Amino acid sequence: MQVPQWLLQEERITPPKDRDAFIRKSAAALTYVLTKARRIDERQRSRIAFSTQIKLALTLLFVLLVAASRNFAFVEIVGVALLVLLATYEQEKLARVLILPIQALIISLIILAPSLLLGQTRAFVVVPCKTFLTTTAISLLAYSTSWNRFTCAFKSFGAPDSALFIFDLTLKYVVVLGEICLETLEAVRLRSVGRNRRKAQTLGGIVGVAFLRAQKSAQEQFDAMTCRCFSGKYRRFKAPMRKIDLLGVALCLGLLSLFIYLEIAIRCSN
Amino acid sequence: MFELTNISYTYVGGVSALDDVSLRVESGRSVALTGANGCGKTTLLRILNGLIFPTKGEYRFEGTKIDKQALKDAQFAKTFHRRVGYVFQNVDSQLFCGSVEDEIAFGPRQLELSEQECRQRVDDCLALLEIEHLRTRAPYATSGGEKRKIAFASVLSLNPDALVMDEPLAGLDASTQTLIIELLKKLREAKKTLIFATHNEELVQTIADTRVRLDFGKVVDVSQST
Repeated sequence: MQVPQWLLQEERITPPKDRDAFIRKSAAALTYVLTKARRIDERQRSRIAFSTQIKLALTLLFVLLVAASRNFAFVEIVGVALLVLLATYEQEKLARVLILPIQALIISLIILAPSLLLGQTRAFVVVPCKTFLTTTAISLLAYSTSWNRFTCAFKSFGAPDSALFIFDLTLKYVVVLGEICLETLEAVRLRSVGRNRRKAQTLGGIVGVAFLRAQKSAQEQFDAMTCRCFSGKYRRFKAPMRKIDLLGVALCLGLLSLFIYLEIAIRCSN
Repeated sequence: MFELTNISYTYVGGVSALDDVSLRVESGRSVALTGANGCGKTTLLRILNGLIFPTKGEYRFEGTKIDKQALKDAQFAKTFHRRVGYVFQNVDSQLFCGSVEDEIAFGPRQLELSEQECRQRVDDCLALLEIEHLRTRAPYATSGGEKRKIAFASVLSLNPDALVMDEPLAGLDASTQTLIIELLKKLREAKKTLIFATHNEELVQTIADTRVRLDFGKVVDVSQST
């Protein structure tokens, strides 16, 4: 084996300057997203350990009724109940749950700010309140439930197998693809030792590699599932009804009853 | 050259990968990191390459503290990355160009070496790793072992002072393993600093001056090769 002479010598090269902050910033952004996605895997059990089916039904009903409600008293009552539940969370967990609803609240306030000029103060209060409550409920559900339990719950509600398969693989590949892109960006960063005159080509390479590897990984995962007797059908998971789930059903009925009562009340008063 | 002082690293979620590790690697030495899967070898190599930073302790490269702040200086980061080459465990992620020769020429072209010099380096690296026949092939369309050789070639073309390798012989057939071991021997003779994580005893015996054994993120044994 003949090792070339240049490889045996020590080199002192001053790297040419270049504007390549995009690699560092992209890697940092991707790391942040992946860190968040990984945290999703360490889901906590919620304060009230309903089965996922009940939690999903309760959340969907909550969102639907809050959105449809014309009586603000309903929004106030369920809002107070939700805040009481949130108050039982520790500070760090609370921050994780509330970050998205607070962002949604701020955006809705900005969007509705012109309504104040038109004298629509009610809309300025009601819509952001509803936005905050519904996103908080969804955030709570997402925080306390793992993805595979979501798949089970969707199956219980009769979701088609093909939709579940896509949902399942997509969730897995958000993290997997992110990791592929991050590793490739790190490789680019490590070898970006000077001026890159072909930035577009490099970026194209990263996207191309991510696409090809995603396609290959998806095929391999499907093959692995097939080898382990997966026929494309998800079995319906029949979780036994527990006492706590009966409380969840009662909550759903209570929520619905309160909604109907307050809606009738507002009609009568009109 | 590399100096790690009481470093610890904890992943998100509180998983501790390294716990109070101190290590000093002099220029021109070769160090093997050994230990069971999940003992922190890859994390240590990623810290050495400035891809992640210790949650506790200090890492210095030739006396300069390597942290987020230091690597924000683009000139310093580029010099550091040129001088410390890294061969990933998963070489699939390391290759992102359209052809093998572009992959190898990526670094030299960035250093603004003349096109003739770039071509020379590409030819030399292809010959060194015995992959001349792959010159125009797309890296992703090659086999696992070939990808590892291409990754080696793409790092060597930058002529790094130190070569950090994560499982350099993983997935290679016997003849390719011999080729890589011979190459590492030559690089060691040329006083390149070599740091590698491996489970391959032959590689440790043949190449390493020092063996550092890790267990659950701690250095449990440092021994000099005979």
